[in-house]
Formats: sequence, C-alpha cells, structure tokens
Amino acid sequence: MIRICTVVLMLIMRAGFLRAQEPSVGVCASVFGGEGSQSRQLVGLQICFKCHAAGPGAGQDELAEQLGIAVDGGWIRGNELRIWGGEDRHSQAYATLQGETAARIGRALGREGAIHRDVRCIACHSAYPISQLSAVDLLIEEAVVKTDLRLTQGVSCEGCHGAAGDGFEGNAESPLRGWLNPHVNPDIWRYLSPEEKCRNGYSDVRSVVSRAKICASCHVGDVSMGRVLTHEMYAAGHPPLPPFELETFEDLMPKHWMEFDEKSPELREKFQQRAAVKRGDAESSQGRSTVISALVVYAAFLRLTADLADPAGGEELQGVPRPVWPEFSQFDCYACHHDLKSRGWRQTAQVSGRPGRPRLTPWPAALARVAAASSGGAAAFGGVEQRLDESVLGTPFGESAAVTAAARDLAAACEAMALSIESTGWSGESQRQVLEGILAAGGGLVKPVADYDSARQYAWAFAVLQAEVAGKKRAEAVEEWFGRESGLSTRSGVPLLLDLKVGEPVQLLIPGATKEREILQIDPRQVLPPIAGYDAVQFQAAFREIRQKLTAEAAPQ
Amino acid sequence: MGIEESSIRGSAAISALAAAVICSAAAIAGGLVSDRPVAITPGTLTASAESGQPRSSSGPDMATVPGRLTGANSCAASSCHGGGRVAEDLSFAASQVWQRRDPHARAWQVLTQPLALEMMRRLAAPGTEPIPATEDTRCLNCHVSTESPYAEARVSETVNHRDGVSCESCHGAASGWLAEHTTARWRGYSAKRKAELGFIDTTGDLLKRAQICADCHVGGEGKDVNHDLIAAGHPRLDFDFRVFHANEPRHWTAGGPGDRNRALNVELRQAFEAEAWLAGQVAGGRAAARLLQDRTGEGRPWPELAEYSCFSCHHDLRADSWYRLARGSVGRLQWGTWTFGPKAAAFGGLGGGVSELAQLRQLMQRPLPDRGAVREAAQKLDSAFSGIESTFPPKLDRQGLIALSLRLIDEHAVVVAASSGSVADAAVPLAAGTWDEAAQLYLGLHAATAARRKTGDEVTAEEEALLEGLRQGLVFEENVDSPGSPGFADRVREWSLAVAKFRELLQGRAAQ
Repeated sequence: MIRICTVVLMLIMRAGFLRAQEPSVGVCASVFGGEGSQSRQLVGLQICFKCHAAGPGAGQDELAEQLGIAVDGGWIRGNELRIWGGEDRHSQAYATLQGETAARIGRALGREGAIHRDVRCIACHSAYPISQLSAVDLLIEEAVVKTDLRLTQGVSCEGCHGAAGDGFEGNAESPLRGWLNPHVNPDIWRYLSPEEKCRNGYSDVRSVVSRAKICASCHVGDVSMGRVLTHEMYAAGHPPLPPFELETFEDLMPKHWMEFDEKSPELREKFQQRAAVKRGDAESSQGRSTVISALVVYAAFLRLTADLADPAGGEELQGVPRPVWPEFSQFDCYACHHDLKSRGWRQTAQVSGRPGRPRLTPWPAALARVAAASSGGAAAFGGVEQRLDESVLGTPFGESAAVTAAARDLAAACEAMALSIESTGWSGESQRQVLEGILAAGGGLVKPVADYDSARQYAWAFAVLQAEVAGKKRAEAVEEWFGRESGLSTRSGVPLLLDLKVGEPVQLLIPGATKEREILQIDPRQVLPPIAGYDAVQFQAAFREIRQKLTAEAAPQ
Repeated sequence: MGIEESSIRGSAAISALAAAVICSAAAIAGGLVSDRPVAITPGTLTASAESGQPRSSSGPDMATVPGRLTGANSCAASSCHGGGRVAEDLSFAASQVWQRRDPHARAWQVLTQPLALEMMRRLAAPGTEPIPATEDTRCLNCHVSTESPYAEARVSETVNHRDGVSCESCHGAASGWLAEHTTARWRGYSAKRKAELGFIDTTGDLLKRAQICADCHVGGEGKDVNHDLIAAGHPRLDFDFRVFHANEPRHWTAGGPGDRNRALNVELRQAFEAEAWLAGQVAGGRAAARLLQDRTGEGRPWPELAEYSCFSCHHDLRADSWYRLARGSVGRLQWGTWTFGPKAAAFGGLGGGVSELAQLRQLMQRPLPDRGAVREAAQKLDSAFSGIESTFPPKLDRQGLIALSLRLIDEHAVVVAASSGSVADAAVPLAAGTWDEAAQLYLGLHAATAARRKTGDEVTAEEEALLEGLRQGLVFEENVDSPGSPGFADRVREWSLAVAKFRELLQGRAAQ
C-alpha cells in the first residue's frame, strides 16, 4: 500500500517539478534573493514532532523503519526536535525577549513592557517572517503572542528550513504547494535535487553557501527580512553579536543532523544511486565549509552595509524605519569603545592606517581575506577591498554612495568565490594553505592587526581546520590550543571567549508552555571583560608560537 | 593667596588629565600647563640672564611694513625686555621669563620630539613617507609665531620657527610698531594709535587675552586639532582660560604698588577670578563657533568627531555600565560638552546666544549633521557673541556670584536630565558622557568661589572641602585616561551628593 502511494505521489510531484534545471551548485533562488519562504505560511513545529521527536527506543515501529530512524545507521536521527528543544538556544530565542535583559532594553528604547511584541526584535528572535505580521507602531498585538505558537517557539524548524506551508492565495508568484507535502514521503523527498526542494520553499541546507547565508541573515543581518541590529539597540543593552563561523556555531548549536559520511554505507550507496544530484567527495570537509562560510558571511555583511548606506535606500525597511546613516553598528565597535590609554596597542599597531577614522566591523573580512588568498582570488579581492577602504576612511564614516557601490562589488566577488569553491574540489593542499593563512594573519605577519572578534574568528577557524587534519574533534582542538593550559591563555592572561554557551541560567515561562524552564541568558559580566582586556600584541605573539610549534612538528626529523 | 593659588593649580591638574587623554607627556611638553608654581624674583632673573643661551634669530624683513614678524630677539635687549631693568618692573624681564619658564618658548621644539615623529608616521598615508612636523603647517600654525596662518600644507623651516610661540604671537607682529615702542612717546599713544600700528594691547582687556589664547587653544582657521590629530597622539584641547592664565609664567606686573598700569590691571578687580572664567567661556565659545564653521568646509573630515565628548564613545563596554544607567543611552554622541558645557548659565548673565546654541546642538547631535545647516547655525551663534561680548564683564557682586554658582549647578542637572530623558536621573549628574560637563561645573564653581572670597564673602571649610572632593572625584585612575574605569563609577553618586550639598550651602548663603 505504501509503495503504491509512493509511486502515485512521485508521479504527481514530478509533473510539478519538471521545470528547467539550474546548475547544481547547491543554491536556489530562495536563498540568494528572489522568491522565498517569506511569502509562505508557517505550519509550526507540532507537525514536525511526528517524525523528528522520537525518544530513546524509538525506531522500532513501522514509521521509524520507513524514515530510516535508527541510532545506528539511520538516515535521520529522529530526535532532532529533542536536541533542538533541549540544547539548542534557537529554541529559547523568543523566550529571551521576556527576560530581564530584554526588559531593560525595552525601557531604554521607550518600549517598556512591550519589547516582546516589537517586530524589530521578532525578526530574528522567531521564525515568523515579520512581513506576515500586522503591527501598529512596530508592535504586534498581545493576543497574537498569547495564541500563535509559531511566533513564540523561537527560531524553530522553519526559521532555517523554510516555511513549509502553501503560498498565500492571490500571490501569483508563489507556487501553490509548500514542501510539507512531498517531505512526508521520505522515499521521494530524500532523492530530490536541492533545486526541486527549493522550488517548494525548502531551503537548501546541503549547500554550505546556502546554509551560511541562512545563518548570516540573523547572525549578521538582512535588510530584506527586517533583520538589523542597530547601534541604538546595542546602546540600549543588546549583548554584542559574536562573530560568526559556521562550523564552530554548528558544533556548539549542537548539530541535530548526521553528516553524509556518518550515515551507513548502505544508505550512502543507495543515495548515490538514486539521488538526482549526487554527493561530491569534498562536501564533508569542515575546512571547506569554514572557508566558504567566511566568504558568504562577509558578503552578507557587505550587503547589509550597502543596504544601510545606500542613499537611494528609502525611508523604511520592511515597514521598519530605516536607521540614519552612518549606522554605527556597521563600524568597528572597539575602535571607539575602549577606555583611553596612552600608548595603547591600537595606536602603536596602526590599526587602520588612518588615525581617527572608524573602519567597518573588521571581523567579517578577517577570514574572508584568508579564504580569498587561498582560492587564488586575492588580487581581485584586494583591489575592491582597497576601494572599499578608501570609500570608508576618506571621510569619517565614509561617503555613502561610494561605500554602497564598493561594498556591493566586493560582496559579489565573495559570493562568486564561495560558489566556485563549492562547485570545485577541496584538497589537502587547500586545507594546508588556509591553515597557513590563518596563522600568518593571526600572528600579525600580514596586516591588518586583529581586533578581539577577528582574533576569535582566527582561533575558531584554526581549531576547525587543525582538528580535521589531526583527526580530532573541534572542541578538543580548541581546548588544546586555546584552553586554560594553552600558550594563548598563559601569555595574554585574558583568554578569548570561545565557548558561546556561557551565561546566566534563568527560569522563564516560554509562551505556550505549562511550566517554567531554564534558559541561558547571555551574561555581559562574562562576555564583556575579555573585550576590554584584549591585547592584540599578546594575541599575535601567542599565534606566532603556535605557528612555530606546528612548523617544527612538520619539519623532517 | 597661597591656598588659593595651589587650588587653582589643582584644577589645572584636571585640565592636564583631560589633555592627557592621549599622551600626558605631550601635554606637559606641549606647553599646556606648568606643573610647578612659578617663583621668579628679580634676583634669580639677573643671575639667569647672564647664563642664558643667546637665541639665534636673524629676524626677517625689518622694514616698516606693518604686520611682519621681527622675531623674539628684537624684544630681548637687556635694556628692553631682557631683564636689565627688572627691579623697576617685571615686564622689563618678559623675554627672560618667556625664554626660561614659559612652555610657549618650546612649542617648536616639541615638534622634533619622539611623540611628534610617531604622530607624523601615523598620519602619513599608507605607503608614503611621513613629513617632518616642523614642516607641516597643521602643526606650525599653532606651534610657531606666524604673521597669518600658513595656507599651504607644507613649508620649509625658517630660523624664527625655532622661537616657538614668541612675543609677537600675542602682542602683534612688530614691524609696524617696534620702532615707536622703543621711544618715550609710546606711553602717550592712544590705544587706537597703537592698534593701527599692529600692536595688540593686552593690558586692560581680559576678554582680549582670552581670545588670543583661544585662537590656538581652541582653534580657528588653519588651526585645527581635529580627531585625526588626536587619534594620532595629540592631546585633546581642553581650554580653560582662568586655569591657563594662572599657570602662564607671569611676565607682567602683578599689580603691586609700583605698577604703572595699576588702574588698568584687571587682575586686581574683586570679581577677577569669575571674570577670567567667564572670559574663557565667551572667547572659547566664539572660537569654537568659528572653528566649527571652518570644519564644515568642503574637503574637511565630516562629521568632525573632535566636536563631541570623547567619552561618549571611548569607554570600555561594561555589564554594569553606569554610563548606560545614568544616561538612558540611545547610542548618540554628545556634542560640545567641553566648550559649550556650561554656556547657558554663563550666557544667561550676558547678552544672549542661548537659543542659537540650542539650535546648533540639536543639529550636531544627529548621526550625520548637515554641513550647510550647521555652518549657518554656527554663523548665527558666532554673531550672537557680539551681543555677549558687548555686555562683558557683567557686574558680579557677592549675590551675583552665588547666583552664577546656583545657575551652573541647576543647568548641569538639566543637561543630564535632558540627555537621559528622565528627570529622576538628574540625581546622577556625573556620567561618562558628561565628565566634560562635570569638570566644567567644577571649574566654574571654583572660579566663582575664589571671586566670592575676594569680595569678602566667607567661604567655609565645609565648602572648601566639598570643592576639593569634587576635584578629586574627577581625577582618572592610574594608567587610565578615561572616566570609564569601574572605580570611577563608584564615585558618581558621591560626587552628585557633594554637588547637592554645595548647592544647599549656597542657598543658605544667598538667603543671608
């Protein structure tokens, strides 16, 4: 019976999917602009529960067998929602809007008691597209908060995977059916090409380019979705957004999926036989993911900067008043935010080469520069980057039209490089080059000098690549090279904050829940002191030591 | 006098601290403040004159064209200002005092010091060789005497440059008046006649003195310590005329019995201390309004960050940020907190400017102020100073001084309340963004109190102690050049309570 249904369903769906195939670089229109899940309905995670919330002992019934749920050798874990709900802070994203920090931010912004209804916050703290919410003076109604679980369940499944429901009626641009329908039949769904899935609103989470872009839409920002963390919000008390490195963040999240090479040989073989788009050998390299994400994240930052600086940008973004340029959040926080010291490292290090002119937030460029150099794009990248620098530093906060143009050109260059790396191979030699590039940049052998967040990017990326080379886990590499006993900590005295799961546990009643649960609230008392205590010169020295050590190990005995 | 003098020097220490935002060494070397009391007697001068190094100055064109520099040497003959007749009058030793004691004499020299070399290296465009500070007119226009500010970016060195900021910077380029000045006729000349010859008479005019100082110590056309220079290492300019005047090694008579200008000596006036403070407010404000117009020019860095409070941005990010708590911060920069800190209170007793200032402040506190609109508003404020200057000095008797002090305190609370958007927060007047305003408040109160003492009003030990407490509360912690350090936060409430107590005492005095 199941088999018959499957065949019928497959036929129906093929009819819908027989459209022009796009080049299989793993990116579909819904990811780099174009139609997206913003215009589809959320179905809510209750529907996902049926298959993705199995507990221990699950996998014995018929459904589990069909889905391939099994602790050993399964296609999916089956307990994705348990991981998400238990350990993944995305599930707490909305709840934090009802915590003390949020209340304080609300008071400072003149939104006392209402910050959890402010669409500027909901844009990132929930999976709900704010374009679908009706708000008065940027506030949605309390009744919606009380009744619509899709809003209050935080950044739930569809926040990243795409809204699974139908397109709205009357929207001719939108395909009629959402991805929920084909998805419930794994025997079809699993082997569809990413493009086919995308056309029904499912984000391509197999492509690193696409995955990084999805993360960056909140972790960096995206004007088209109303996701902009402004300086005003920071000043009101929003904790600093940490720099974003895909592999590190996925590992810390933690992952609720199994990588292809973690699945059983039988399943992998079956996939390669039947799938519309086969897996490539390089796809599982974490070093490659780090490099691709570095470029995509930088592109996202540049597009955000350009959209905010654009003199033709209009008054509103997604119904939210557009911040007036210069929007300080796009600039290096710690260029200005430091107590003044004579002979501080900033002066002696000549950070920007233009004293007194704030540069753009430096961390998004840090790894991207290394990635560009290792993929042969250094010359093209460097040329546009210089133009961007000149447009930003020529006058304080830059000349907005020139900043906009240069930032968009550099974003396009980064995206092209990211796509090119994803569609071509990845070798041990590439990995070695990137490692060397990170060590040189972190050690200050090439300009510019790393600020605190760039230093964290270098440390995180180094750990990802080095762990892969050494056959270790990422967390082990972090502990070995940057932990309490490492040269970095003993030298600088103030370790970099590399584990983002530090905070203050607070009891909160999450909307829709019947009892309070513990959530982790970011604690500025832990997050901020390392920033003030950071010293670039000491960090460089520590990174040079690492480089020397590795060079000595690699030298023939 | 002893106590008074030392407490003024104490307040000078605050200016030194503010100036030390980037480099305290430069603040001292650059001649902003003298860190020791000046003790010059005729005896020491005669001795030092003999051992003094001859200054090399060929002196340029000595023709009678007015407005040309003649060089410091042309004043230094022993029968003129070189000290030969010092027993008669200290001003006969002016050259010697200047050369031996006055940091202005070393203004050029600091351009050759390591910090200057380092600054020029930082300022050089990436990949280019730095030019010497001694040839860069951004530096020279204030660090040497010029006939008018150099317009070109780079000039070659002249012998006169080595004199630093010498006599003619303040008294006028002497080619037109030097010859007349050496004759007996000179004393009979009218002020108008002297001015026509190019002489700047500083004798009876406190405001004129302050304007001369402000031309460099605040800035003006071609004289701009902007944020680029500060970031490269130049100390911030925190001008307070009264403090600077007190620290300037005196090369003129102090108003003793032998003073032939006794009738004109403004320093003998009862309200001198308050008038000097006010003169600095007026002259500094007008210079700043003109500097701001200049800064809106095409090709100049804009927005000019030196217009804003350093500590609006420059503070470590902290969890328990008293900065945030005190200001209800919205992430905007605070404008004009030093130069225009106490202006409304000061101007309230003078001829206007209050609404013009408010208008300018509103424009400048936008994220990207409109150059044209700012220039226009700064021009209006500049013009308003004509009215202010015409009513200077105001009549300040005992009651007037108490009223001025109360206005300063109340205005400060209003400034803070306006920034935080909450009157309740006014109880915490000292926040990072308002360190400038708090320091200005202290300096104003100190001046008014010193003047009250001279009018015969009793200043109690309690008032003295409160003032001293305010000063100490403003001092930065060791090795930090910002008020943002955690220890400072703890003093905020204490400070505001002291201000409130001082206010209460003043109100009691006013009722007497």
